[in-house]
Amino acid sequence: MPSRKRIKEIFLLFVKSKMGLAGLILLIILASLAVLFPVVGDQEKINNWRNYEYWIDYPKKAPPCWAQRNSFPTQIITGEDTVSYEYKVFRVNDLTVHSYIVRFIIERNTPTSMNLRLNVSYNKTTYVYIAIVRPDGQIVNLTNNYESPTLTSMRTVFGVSSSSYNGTVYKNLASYINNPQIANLYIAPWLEANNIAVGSTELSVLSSKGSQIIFMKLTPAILTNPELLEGEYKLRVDIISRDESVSTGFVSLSLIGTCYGVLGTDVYGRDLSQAVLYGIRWALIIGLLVAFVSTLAGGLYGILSGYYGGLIDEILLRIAQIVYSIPVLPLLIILSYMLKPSIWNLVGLLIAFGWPGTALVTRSMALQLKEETYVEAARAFGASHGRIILKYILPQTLPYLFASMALGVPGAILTEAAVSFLGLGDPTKITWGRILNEAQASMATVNGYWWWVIPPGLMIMMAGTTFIFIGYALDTVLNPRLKR
Amino acid sequence: MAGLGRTLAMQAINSLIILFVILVIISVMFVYLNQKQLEAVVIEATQMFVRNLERNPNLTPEQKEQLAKAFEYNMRVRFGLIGSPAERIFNLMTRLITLDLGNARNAYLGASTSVKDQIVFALKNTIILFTTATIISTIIGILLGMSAARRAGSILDKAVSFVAILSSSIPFWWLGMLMLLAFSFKLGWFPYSAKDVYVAVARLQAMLQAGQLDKLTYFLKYLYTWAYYMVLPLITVVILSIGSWAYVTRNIVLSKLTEDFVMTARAKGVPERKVLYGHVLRAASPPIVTIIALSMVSSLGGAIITETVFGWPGMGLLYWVSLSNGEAMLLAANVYVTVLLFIIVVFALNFIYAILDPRVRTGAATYTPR
Repeated sequence: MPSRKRIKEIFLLFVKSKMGLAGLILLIILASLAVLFPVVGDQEKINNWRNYEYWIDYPKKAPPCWAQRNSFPTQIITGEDTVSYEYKVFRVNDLTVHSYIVRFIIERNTPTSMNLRLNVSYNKTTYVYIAIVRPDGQIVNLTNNYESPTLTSMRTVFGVSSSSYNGTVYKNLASYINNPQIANLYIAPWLEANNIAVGSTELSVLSSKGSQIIFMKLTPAILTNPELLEGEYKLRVDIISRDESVSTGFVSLSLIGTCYGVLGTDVYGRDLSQAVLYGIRWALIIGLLVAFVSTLAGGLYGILSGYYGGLIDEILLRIAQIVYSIPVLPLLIILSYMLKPSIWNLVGLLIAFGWPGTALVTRSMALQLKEETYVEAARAFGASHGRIILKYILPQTLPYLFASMALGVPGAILTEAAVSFLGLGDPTKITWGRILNEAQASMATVNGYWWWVIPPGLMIMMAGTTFIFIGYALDTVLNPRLKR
Repeated sequence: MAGLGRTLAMQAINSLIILFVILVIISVMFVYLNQKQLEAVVIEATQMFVRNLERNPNLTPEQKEQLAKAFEYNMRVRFGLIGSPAERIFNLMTRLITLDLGNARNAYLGASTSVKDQIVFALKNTIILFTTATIISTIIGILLGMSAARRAGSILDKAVSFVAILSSSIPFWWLGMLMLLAFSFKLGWFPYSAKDVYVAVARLQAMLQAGQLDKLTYFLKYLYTWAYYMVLPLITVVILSIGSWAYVTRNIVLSKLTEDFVMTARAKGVPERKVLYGHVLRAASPPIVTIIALSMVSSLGGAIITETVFGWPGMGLLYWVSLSNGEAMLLAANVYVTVLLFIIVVFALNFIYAILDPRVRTGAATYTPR
């Protein structure tokens, strides 16, 4: 075993080589992203990856926002974001009011839909008041307000019984606003109150684009040449009930644009950045596990074969050569097809076919090492075979084993990706290969969903190069003969 | 030449053992895992048949029972469910070897539903694509590697090493997707689906027969059509293969350059060009061939999958098709033929090695890594 001083020396040499340093930095980045996923990523999204209902509000096939300069960045405000909304309970005459004020930002463009979800429970007649408070202080009513002769009922907006209901109510406010009746009742009076005449042509504009107009600057040209009023808006939702024991809860307000987040979404609206980030975990687990076990097993196999020699060597060598010449991927494809698709099966198969490369090299090393004088001396002292192998031969092969371990990782990651790409991956695990499989199945190349294709592949490439850098650097440092 | 013969015989035996091992694995897996599904299919079909029989008033119960039994037996024969497990494994192996695997549910590739015809069709296309790609990448790769070795430490040399590292960690099929996004989606230069090449060629042939084209234009258009559909998959495979060819060539040539025979040749006044491409390349080619043969075993699988992305009607696409349609027999046959193809390629490369290397020894010599 190399001494501590020697290890330090090796480490310094390793870091001094450009490849070694680059590999080490990349590895640290990958490993910390994998470990810190719960901090950097969103575990809830990963847990709900296969729960397509969870993603219902997210924009589908949306490119990343940095690439789509003029589209509204999707915002999803849930009941858990307690800083984004205020909740008050008060009484107006004999009515109990539960009032929510949700803050959101409008920038670049208007949202294509605004989905509001609330939990409500009541047993007497209940009304609802909805309004949008703009950054310029204007209030746009979307229903009758407290000054109107009557209030708007729950049925009118949410389509549920106004006298008794228990459950979630949902409304896409954008399509609610884009309606001739609503435009006539609420949006037109707001514009007229601000000295903008609304005739029949204007009304038809409102009934198709009302949900955009309410976010525009209040100028005389608001209908003909609208200009976006950016800033913080507030959505006010009051649930007004005759039932004193009414209970409500804010579930979510989803303002959906045509772009999403850092890496966009797939056809189900799932946030691809989370999957790409989470994929690091599986890539590292698969790569490291396969490389470690198969290198160690192959190393020992080769040493045994070379050390014992003779017939044992002949047989072991033949077996290793045969396994070495088996093309792994086709066999993995059929085996994964027939076995239960599980990531551990795949890891097992990769190990089962991955060991012979190392074995063939350590065998020839052992053939030389066993002739060394110190091994002969040990044998003369009566050391057992096990002791000689573990104490005198294995340590000599360790530098090679370390390097080949690092160099074995990319192969495992690439093979797993290929198998998953063909749709044979573990359906419960999110790997880069699987993301690309889904992209291919959704014809991402024909439809130009580049944000779905490029990042997972780049990650595969990055993970691969990381370990190749480390392996090559280790190889040159530990096996100085190879220095050129 | 006795040594050569013996080496090749050993090689052949090794290859046959590998083929046998794989056939056994496929067959055993089929008999123990897939036949349960087939059994279920047979039982379901028989129940359906019996239900239909019940509606027929003209038959006695005995006749119905006989008919049902005959039906079930026929189904079992068709799905290879007759006999002891050993017999079934043996039957399946012989059927795989001869590719006598009946029909698939659909003609996925080519015109026929027969498993054998589809496999042969796919094999042909895969060979067309990969032979062309290999020839191109070998030539470019070796030339690149030689120039890199001649100017060791130069920018070109570093670039070759870097590209080799990068390309060994890029999946072929992913690069293919990028190519499609860039050249088909963005620029619209090439088609998305290379499958249509046969449609286009058939159209040309029809035009030739109708006398609308003369022989020369037909020939040019024929070449153009193939190039149009093949360029993207070809470039993808070539780009990722060049790196390893160049890198391996560079390393081996570099180690040969320090040997005495090079110094002798230079001392004799042989031109540097001739030293490099005559003497050194001659000595370096056997190890280059060996290393490439071994790396091919691991990389060709991934390369073949690239066909899926381009819709090139070869074996890689057949994997995707048979997996997404649950065609177990087609898949098994495809795996078997892919392995066969690998083995033949590696055998051929070892044969070339044996011819190139005058010091041919038996057995392990062709396999010693490094």
